[in-house]
Amino acid sequence: MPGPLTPSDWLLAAPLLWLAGGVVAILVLDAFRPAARHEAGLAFLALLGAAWSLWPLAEAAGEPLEGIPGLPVRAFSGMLEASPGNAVVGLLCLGAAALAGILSLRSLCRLESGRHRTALWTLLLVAPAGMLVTLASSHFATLFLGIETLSLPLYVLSALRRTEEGSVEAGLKYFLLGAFASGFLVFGMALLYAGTGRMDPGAVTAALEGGALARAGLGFLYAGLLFKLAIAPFHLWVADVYQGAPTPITALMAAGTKAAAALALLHWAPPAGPLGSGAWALLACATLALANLTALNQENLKRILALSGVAHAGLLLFALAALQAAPGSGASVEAAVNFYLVAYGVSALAAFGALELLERRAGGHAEASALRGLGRRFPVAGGILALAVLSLAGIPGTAGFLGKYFVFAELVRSGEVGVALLGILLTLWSFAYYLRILVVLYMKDAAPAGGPPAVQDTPAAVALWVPAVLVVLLGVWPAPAHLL
Amino acid sequence: MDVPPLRTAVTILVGFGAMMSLAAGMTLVERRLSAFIQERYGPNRVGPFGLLQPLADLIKFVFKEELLPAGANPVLFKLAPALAAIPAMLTFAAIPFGFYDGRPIVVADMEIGVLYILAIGSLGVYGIILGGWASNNKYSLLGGLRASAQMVSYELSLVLSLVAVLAVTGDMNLSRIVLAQDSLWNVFTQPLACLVFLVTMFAETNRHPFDFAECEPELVGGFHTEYSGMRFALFFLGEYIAMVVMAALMAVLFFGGCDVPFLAIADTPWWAGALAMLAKTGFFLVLYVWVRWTLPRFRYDQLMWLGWRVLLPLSLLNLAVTGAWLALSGPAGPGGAH
Amino acid sequence: MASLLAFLLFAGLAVVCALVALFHRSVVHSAFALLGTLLGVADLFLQLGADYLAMTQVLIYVGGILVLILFGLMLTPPDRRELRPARIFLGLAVTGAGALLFLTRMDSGAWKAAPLQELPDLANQASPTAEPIGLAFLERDSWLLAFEFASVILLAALVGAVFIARRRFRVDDEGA
Repeated sequence: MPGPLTPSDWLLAAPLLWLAGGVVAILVLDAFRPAARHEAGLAFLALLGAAWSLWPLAEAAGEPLEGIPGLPVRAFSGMLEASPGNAVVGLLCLGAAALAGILSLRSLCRLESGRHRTALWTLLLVAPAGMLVTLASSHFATLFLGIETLSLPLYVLSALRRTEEGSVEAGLKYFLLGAFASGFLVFGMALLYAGTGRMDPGAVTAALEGGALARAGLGFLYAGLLFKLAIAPFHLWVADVYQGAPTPITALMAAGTKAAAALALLHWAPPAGPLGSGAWALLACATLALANLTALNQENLKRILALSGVAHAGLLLFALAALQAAPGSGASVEAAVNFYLVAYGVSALAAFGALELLERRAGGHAEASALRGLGRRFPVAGGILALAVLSLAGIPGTAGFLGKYFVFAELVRSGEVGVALLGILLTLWSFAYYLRILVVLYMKDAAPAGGPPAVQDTPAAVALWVPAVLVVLLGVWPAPAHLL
Repeated sequence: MDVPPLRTAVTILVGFGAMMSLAAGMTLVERRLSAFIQERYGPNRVGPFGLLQPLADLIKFVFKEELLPAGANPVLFKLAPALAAIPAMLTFAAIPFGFYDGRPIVVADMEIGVLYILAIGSLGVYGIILGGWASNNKYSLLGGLRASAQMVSYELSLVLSLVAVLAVTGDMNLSRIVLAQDSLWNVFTQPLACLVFLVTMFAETNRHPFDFAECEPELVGGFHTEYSGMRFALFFLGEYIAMVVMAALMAVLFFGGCDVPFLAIADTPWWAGALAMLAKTGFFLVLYVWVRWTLPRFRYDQLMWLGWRVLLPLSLLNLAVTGAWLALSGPAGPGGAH
Repeated sequence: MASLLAFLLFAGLAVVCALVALFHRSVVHSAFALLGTLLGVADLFLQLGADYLAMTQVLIYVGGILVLILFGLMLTPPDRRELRPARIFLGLAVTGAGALLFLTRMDSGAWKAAPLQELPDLANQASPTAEPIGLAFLERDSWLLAFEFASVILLAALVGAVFIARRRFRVDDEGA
């Protein structure tokens, strides 16, 4: 007999219902009142509602929720599973979508006379819904659906500037490679199911003890996940896509997709076993090294920030290596990952958001030559970008530093001191290109103002303060977030 | 559910014969009826009232030369007519023509009969696309493309209108759908679905007023421009069999199938049921012809407009209303009407 | 025995057609070869007793998706470049080496799939699957969430497709 939904079901389904309800409301209103400009308001309402319904879980770090047995919350008989820390990362995803929306208000919303507002706002609601499902997935069905639901809107949103070749190229590239990765993911799931007969994370454990069929499936599964996370062999799309996509969308991708994919990987990570920590550490080091090496030669600030995102994803794998090396450290590793994701997320949001504002002043270019000295002319946007870059680099006093610190601390605690040292060295190497951004921003000979004068964008300028303040706040007072 | 093999064999033979004769007969009916509508004589020389005309046509087709256009792909070119005819023939297997000895007169009494007809029926489009592409002729290609776009577009409305019927009946087995209509035909509970099905039925078989695949003034003969002889005949056979199946499906789903009005199915002699089914099917077959020679052809954009902006919303609305009605009128027990 | 033969026949059809789809020079031929693959897979579903799944496979993949693929391909100018054998061999070599490395490194155990002998006879004792599938989609304990959430992604795909396919407006409209 089909039972009624339990409180935990409602708790995890409510944000999704808010977002899906927002999508439907926008589409229905759009069908009957095409002239009315209601999309943005409805979308923000839906995002707020989702955040409000997710809040109790995020808040309940210590005490159990009323009527819901035990944390982490399991819903729909194990389809979804989320801890309070996951909920905080979920809030980050919602916030990223909201910031992307605010940044679009005066730019993307007006493309093609605003005729594709509907597509923009509905897709901006669907993407975080997919992220929420992905980061809480504990079943093949939810993992696949979540990843598809977060990717599909981003494919389209990347190509939002249809008249610009770069944007279309970004959308197409992301779509083709993403579809390929989804193929890997599903094929891996099929093999895992064939080999183990399970569809929950237990399949991973069973696969490690099982035959080659299941293990091949495991390989494919991780290939698909690592693609979304942009880890070394699968990171080649990142720079092109991040550069071509409209910058607000890039911000959403950097903060949200990465967070969701990373938590999914953590959920589906193998317990300590034959794979060992070496594989993860190797992947992490390779990713860091490759990203650093490539970023040093870039002329475009968006590409540099994209590759910095690759490096940050690589750093996350150190946490997995720590988990492998010291079984039983699950809770503290997860807390470190959650904090790291939030720290990286707010830094990336601040960086890409500020870059978007500067880009508009430079006539839509993100080349280093076009942005020369803009930090002097526009002290607020330039300052926020500089602060975000410092945080991404990991300067003490910012959120980024603490994020890296927690991950390396886990690594040291698990006994992998050598790996930790190597990782720290690689991180120090990355200072080179972060420094380059700062130098470009505050160079003496400023670039001539290019293109038409930009529209005054008060909402975006105000909204940018939120991630900027969070970068500092989390850097000096990590307690609330580190309850995760 | 065990049906004696002999009975199945007889059903297959009789059913196949009936299907082929209906399709062949339709070619004659079409021409005679069109002549009647246009105040002409039509073919009336071969046999009494021209009844042997289909036979004469067959002989002509068999002896005609099969042409292979230059640059055409020989394998696919020859495969296409078969691909057009075979799916149509296969769908016939699921149509129940009455009840004999308490069991349905049907080749295969499938649990998912409706789905089977939809699935196999959707294969028919391949013959048309393939024929259009393999002919190496721009008119053929355009005809094939048009046909495929049209069939895919209208299939949505077709399926959605059927879903409402399935929801009311709570079953996908065609013979049980017939039994469920013993007291009240579905056309009375689902008039909107019936209307949508009626329109899409014409579009799915590429019949006038939706016959863009072979729109003579624009595309010569459409996808079969380059075909002659028996291959051409196979295309037409496929089209006519598809018409027969659609007409029969209409009768089964909305007009009670073998149900004689005011008579319980259990009390009806089997031949009366089969006759009723044949009469209903025949009516819709004649309707095909009637419409063809009475209405003008749509323009292509009108066709797409009708499919996407009228029929699809209508069938969605119908489905929503049906769903709400079923939900409010009490829980539907699995596997049966209530 | 008969079911084993049927299995080999249709599995063979699926595999051979998949190979044709991979290696044929003309993309349209490849698409038509996919027809055989998808139908073969549908038949394998039937033999496993999943009648509903088989028919849905035909209806959606064969009757819908593949038709759209063909539609797109026929409107695309043909690509006359040929696959160079050297490239094919290089690709096969790299893939094979990778697979070999993977398999030898990863495991020495047996391939644990359902043995072939278990496949037959499912079709004969099969009970209708439409009803259990329908109920499972709506039960909280099984697939309710996945079923409902799938509609979100389909809706997003629809919106995205409409946006991509929409008529382009002139560039000078921008910022108006």
